[in-house]
Amino acid sequence: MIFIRKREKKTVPVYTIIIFILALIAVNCSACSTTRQIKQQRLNLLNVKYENLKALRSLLATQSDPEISCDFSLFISTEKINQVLTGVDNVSGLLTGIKEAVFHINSIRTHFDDGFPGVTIIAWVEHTRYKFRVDLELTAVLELRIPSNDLSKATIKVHVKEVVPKARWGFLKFKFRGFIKDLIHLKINSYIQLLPELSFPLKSEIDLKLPAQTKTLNFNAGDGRIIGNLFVPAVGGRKTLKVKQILFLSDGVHVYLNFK
Amino acid sequence: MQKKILMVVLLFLGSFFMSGSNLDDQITQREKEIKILKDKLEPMVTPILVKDCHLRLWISKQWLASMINSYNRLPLPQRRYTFQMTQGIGRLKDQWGGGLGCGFYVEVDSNRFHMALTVDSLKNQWQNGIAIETHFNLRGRVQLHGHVRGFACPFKSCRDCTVGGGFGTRVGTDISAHSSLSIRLHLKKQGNTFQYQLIQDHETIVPLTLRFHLNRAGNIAISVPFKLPAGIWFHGKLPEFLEYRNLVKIGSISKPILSKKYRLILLPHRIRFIQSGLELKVNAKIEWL
Repeated sequence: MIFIRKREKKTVPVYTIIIFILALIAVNCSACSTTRQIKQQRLNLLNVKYENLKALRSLLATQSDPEISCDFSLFISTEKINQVLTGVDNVSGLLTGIKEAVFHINSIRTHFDDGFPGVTIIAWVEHTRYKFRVDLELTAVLELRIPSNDLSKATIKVHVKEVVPKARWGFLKFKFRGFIKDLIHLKINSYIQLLPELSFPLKSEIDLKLPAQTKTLNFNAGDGRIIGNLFVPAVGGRKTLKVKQILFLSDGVHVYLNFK
Repeated sequence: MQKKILMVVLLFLGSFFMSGSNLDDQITQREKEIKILKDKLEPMVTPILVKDCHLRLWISKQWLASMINSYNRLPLPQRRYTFQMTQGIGRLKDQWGGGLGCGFYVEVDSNRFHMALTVDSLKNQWQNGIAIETHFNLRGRVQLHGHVRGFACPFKSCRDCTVGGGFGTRVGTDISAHSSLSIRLHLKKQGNTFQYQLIQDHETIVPLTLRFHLNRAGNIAISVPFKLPAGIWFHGKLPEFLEYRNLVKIGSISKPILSKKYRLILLPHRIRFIQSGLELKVNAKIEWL
């Protein structure tokens, strides 16, 4: 009996430990996985940054000045892009897919690094019924697109790469679950369409026409003078632009173009 | 069995926490690699950065040269400059001799003087700007009216002039010449835009001579130095790349949550020729509408 009792006493703590550990895992798993996911996002972002830097380096190694191999270049400074982005500061709207959720964007600002078109979005989402709030700092990458079938505008789309959330309920700060977790892990991509689409209209065709003109000429002829009109024909025409290369550098966006 | 379960749990936990620390290591490693790469990139990137304006437009000198060369391939009508006389002041030749002497005069008949200047070729040179050498030929026709008052008798000793107005004739004559002139492309900022000008710095004279026979006055040669005056031949605004009115919007394209219009006010900063081409620098103000 004693032996049996001893065995029973030995077995109980082991299962208790297992159950306790599993319970701990169950309790903490979501928080840990979120932390891991944030780390993974951070790593993904760094990987993108690294690849962009590598691509820029190999480009500049082959041609130190990309302007050399093109007809035109256009530069738009980060400062001016950010000034345009102030137009969407403090905007709010309903969040699709989650009931009673409202998002607020405090600011969207670019912070271009060489070869890396980064954007920081300071936003927050609130659950109107539970008065639950999540502050979000999203790091995104800009992608500048000029559709080949419509060169009339350059569209900048935002791709979110990293999200750092901080949840609040009243004066309490929380780890997050439920709709916040969904927001971070699964639904971010569906919210991307809510982020601003910026467009810089570029004229696909440029009119290089010199108009016809009439000039008055007045010149000596023998003992007298002759006055008359010189008719100058129109020359030139319309040219089509084609984008060759786009570089995001710390100063802004550099677009390199050729004429077709 | 219990040990095995314990091992599995510990392995699971170990791998769980290890994966987290592994991510930290990878992040640290990547950050180091990025710093090294950025240090290497800095001297390559610095020369192409633009620091002193909001917008910059650059046009290559090769492209500008190709535009000038493409002019040479234009059909003739687009390279032809025509001149039509509208008014004459004085006479081309006036040796009427007053009230006493015999003589003649020549004038253009009813403004019938036209010329066509055809540009054969443009050649460009890049010397901190574009200098264009224009070779052209000039062809034209003039209808002249000459009037002669002849001598009263056919003998050389007879110097009296005919009584009355004498006799006149009308004659057409062709003119032609080959010449060249130099023009240059000048750029300047004017108000809120940049302006280009094709300037001829010096007056160019095309020596033309009208030759014809006028009865008893004999062969007459009249010099008509066709003068292309110095000045601006063409001018205009440089094409505007950016529209002045734009839109920033948030939300889906079909249902934007916010859509704000703004106006971009361009403030020319500098325009200049550089070694690789033409550079325009512009500052910009944004006005929300």
